Amino acid sequence: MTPAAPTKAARTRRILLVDDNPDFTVAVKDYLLAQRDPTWIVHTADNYIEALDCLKVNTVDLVVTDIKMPVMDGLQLLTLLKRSRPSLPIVVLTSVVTPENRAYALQNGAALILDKMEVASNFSCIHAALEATAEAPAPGFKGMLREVGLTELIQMECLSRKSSTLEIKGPNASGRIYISDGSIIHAEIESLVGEKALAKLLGLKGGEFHLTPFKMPSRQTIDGQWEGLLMEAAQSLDEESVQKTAEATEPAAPPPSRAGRHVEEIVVCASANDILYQWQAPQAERRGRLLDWLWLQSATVGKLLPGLGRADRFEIAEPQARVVCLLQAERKVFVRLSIAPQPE
Amino acid sequence: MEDDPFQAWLDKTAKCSGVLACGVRETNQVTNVKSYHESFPEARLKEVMQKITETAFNLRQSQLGGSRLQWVFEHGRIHTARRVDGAVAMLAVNNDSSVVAAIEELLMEFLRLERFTPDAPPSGF
Repeated sequence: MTPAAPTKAARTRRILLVDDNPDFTVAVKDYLLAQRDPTWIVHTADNYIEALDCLKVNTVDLVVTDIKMPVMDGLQLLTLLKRSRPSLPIVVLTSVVTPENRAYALQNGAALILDKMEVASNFSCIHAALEATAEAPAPGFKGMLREVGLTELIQMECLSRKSSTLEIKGPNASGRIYISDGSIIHAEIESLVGEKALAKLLGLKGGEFHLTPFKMPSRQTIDGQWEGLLMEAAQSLDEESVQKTAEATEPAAPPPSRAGRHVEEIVVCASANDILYQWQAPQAERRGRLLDWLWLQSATVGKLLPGLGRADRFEIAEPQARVVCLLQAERKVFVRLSIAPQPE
Repeated sequence: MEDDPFQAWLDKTAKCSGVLACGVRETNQVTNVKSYHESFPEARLKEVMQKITETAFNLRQSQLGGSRLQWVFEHGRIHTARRVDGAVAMLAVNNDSSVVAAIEELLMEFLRLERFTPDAPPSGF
């Protein structure tokens, strides 16, 4: 791990190359330095231990990792680094670009996948690619969070079937959400636990969060489909607002109860042709088409009335049913709930 | 049209501080809108009412109902309520949670309005 120092204090960027083939890393390093000297500072590591050691003492703008390495391969390293440094761009460089590798790398946050054979025969291709990646704005959820951002983060963890602990610090309270193998199993904030704690955490208007490696909680208080839980939490917040306002004004009809609600159908998709998850949804593709269409309608309404900002979700309320659709370009969720009639 | 309950309802929405714009589309497809904010021009509100009508129709085609819809955006919400006679009301509101109950009351009032359903507009001269 020998960094090559820049010759002047220009706008420097640090890149870490991780590959067990030193001939290759040296060749890439020499090429990058020749191209971008003095703006690139290039570190190299032969394995994951050297890579982690390097990251402990250096602030790196970009990591480029090979896949095939002993003990911990590049895809495992990618997953590990993305947990602790979600905003760090990571490029996967491999001589074996299989659909499985590509899908796994992209799903786990790789910014780019480069074919090692192409890079070795034409180093100029890596230059433009790395330049663009290093220049790209940091993705993800760095900084202040909003309700939507936190929900999206949990969705991504669950969809990727990851295990992690989400530590959340709000203005007046802090709590944790435990995700095990893609399922929310526990949430806690102050004296609250379970779904109530989850709803309160998702309702925090600002604060900080850290995604840390999963630790088994002392107990499991949540057992349900995560999509339904997120929907329930969102609706619970709305109902809480109604209740608080009603209490502050005059004695009115009691707020709608959450009792008797059952999730009947769930569809998660990127588009109608790309269903990521379905549960009791025989018409999943049709729901996907509806979500695509609703998303386009939302975009049109948002353009007509730009003061509204970006569309977040769409809700349908019927006396004995409710549908909630989360609308995002890359991820759309359809949840249908039935509501049992309440006794008079 | 002072005795038109829909028009009276539209006028009443001005008293609710969270309402940015509103509209009613009657069964004869006549659409009336009111804007209380410069970023919600009335010409565009009529287009939004058309989008809402299309959306509600599509949802009914999918057997998902659509008597009450809510579109949640980053800085505001659009609420719609559809009466049994087919007339649809729209309220564009800000995200201030303190107005939620008032918005709900306005929509319930729209659903309860008693009104003779007008005939379709005459065609020709």
